[in-house]
Amino acid sequence: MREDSSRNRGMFNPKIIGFLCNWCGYAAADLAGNLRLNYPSNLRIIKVMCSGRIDPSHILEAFKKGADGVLIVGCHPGDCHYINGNYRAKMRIALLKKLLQEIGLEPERLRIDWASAGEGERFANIVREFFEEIRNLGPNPVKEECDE
Amino acid sequence: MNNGKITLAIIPLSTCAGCENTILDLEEKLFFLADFIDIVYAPIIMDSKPPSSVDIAIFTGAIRTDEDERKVKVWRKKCKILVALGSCATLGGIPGLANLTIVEDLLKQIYVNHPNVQNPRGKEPNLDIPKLVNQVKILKDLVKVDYSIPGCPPPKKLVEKFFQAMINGGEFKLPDKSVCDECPLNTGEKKVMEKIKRWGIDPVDPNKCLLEQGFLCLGPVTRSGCEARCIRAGYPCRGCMGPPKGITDQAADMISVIGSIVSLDKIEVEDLMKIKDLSGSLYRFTLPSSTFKGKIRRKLNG
Repeated sequence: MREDSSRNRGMFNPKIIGFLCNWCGYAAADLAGNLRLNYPSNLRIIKVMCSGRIDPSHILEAFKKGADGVLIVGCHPGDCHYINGNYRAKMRIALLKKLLQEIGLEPERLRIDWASAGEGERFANIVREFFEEIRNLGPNPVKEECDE
Repeated sequence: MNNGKITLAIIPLSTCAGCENTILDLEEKLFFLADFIDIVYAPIIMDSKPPSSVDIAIFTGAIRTDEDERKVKVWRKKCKILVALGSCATLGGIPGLANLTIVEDLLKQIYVNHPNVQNPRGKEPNLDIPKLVNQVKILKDLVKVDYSIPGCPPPKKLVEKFFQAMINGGEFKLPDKSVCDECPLNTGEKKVMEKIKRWGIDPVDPNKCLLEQGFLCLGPVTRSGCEARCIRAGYPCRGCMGPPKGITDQAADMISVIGSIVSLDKIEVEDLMKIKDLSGSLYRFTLPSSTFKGKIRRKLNG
């Protein structure tokens, strides 16, 4: 596991906020833990009841407070516990990505993906991939502005 | 106090003078107001010298130049009650959309690169006029604002209520609900958006909710108080009253609304991507008071 220790000093250690849905995303994270799978510990998990519950203003707030990336993991399309919450989330995230692009924040910092409760391995892979992507993008420019 | 009357100054910042027009638009009620209120300084309406102190200072317009910044700070010391009138002063307004560009780029575009300009030496005029600030600000960012009356222009009723509150010593509060609450097209039934349409191109049914028809109407995320005047005139709400209580970012919440009402069978993500100028239409009046206050700029060295 990657730690924020002095060994990695000098290397960019991104902060990633993860909104995971209670029924699939969070359960997948739980399974990944039970299976002792390694994935970057930079992910700060917030459990929500459904990916459709996530308001775009939550995501903007996360970026404003200095998150380098926001990851949303919900149920696979068609598997939503609340019939179609993940479809609605998909629509919102697509529009929000477009808005972020116009406002000047890389839309790649925001990602929505699916993992069922049985896919701990898939969840770990998503986090690993996203972590590498954010590390290549560098720190969130909003955070720099805040630090000034 | 001037002969027992409340002294009032109306100070223009970067404004179009529409807000002053709203005050003049009170018509015969102005005569009633004149018994209690003395307008001592209002350069846009009539020329006079600025007084040393006033009871109420009303600001109209956004803070676009360094002179505007200075004015606000000076007048805060001169007045007892500071009021931001109109969308520009309270939310940033149309001038706030300048935050999507950088001042240097803007000046270059106007004076050098514009197709109608012949400027072979590429020089920008160097006049002794107030400089544009890098980022349009709202009054709240600089000084304490006692009352805010949004709207472009602010609704006559709210302005009237404000003056009445000042005269009678009552409380002035903005309505908390959204424009949909006052909208004549709102039937109260569940809305489903089945198509994305563009205003001005696609035909409009004047008796059906504009969102349901597929037009981008900001009613759900805009403060009421205007009595849905745009929709009554056959035009979608553009969000000039700013977000109602409890909403911080109009664009984010509008995206949430779109996500909630689109028909999942008939609209794909690709259809949503066809919406043009998302930041311009969702942040039309509120960019400087939104989460990021404008375009995110990177530091050049570092």
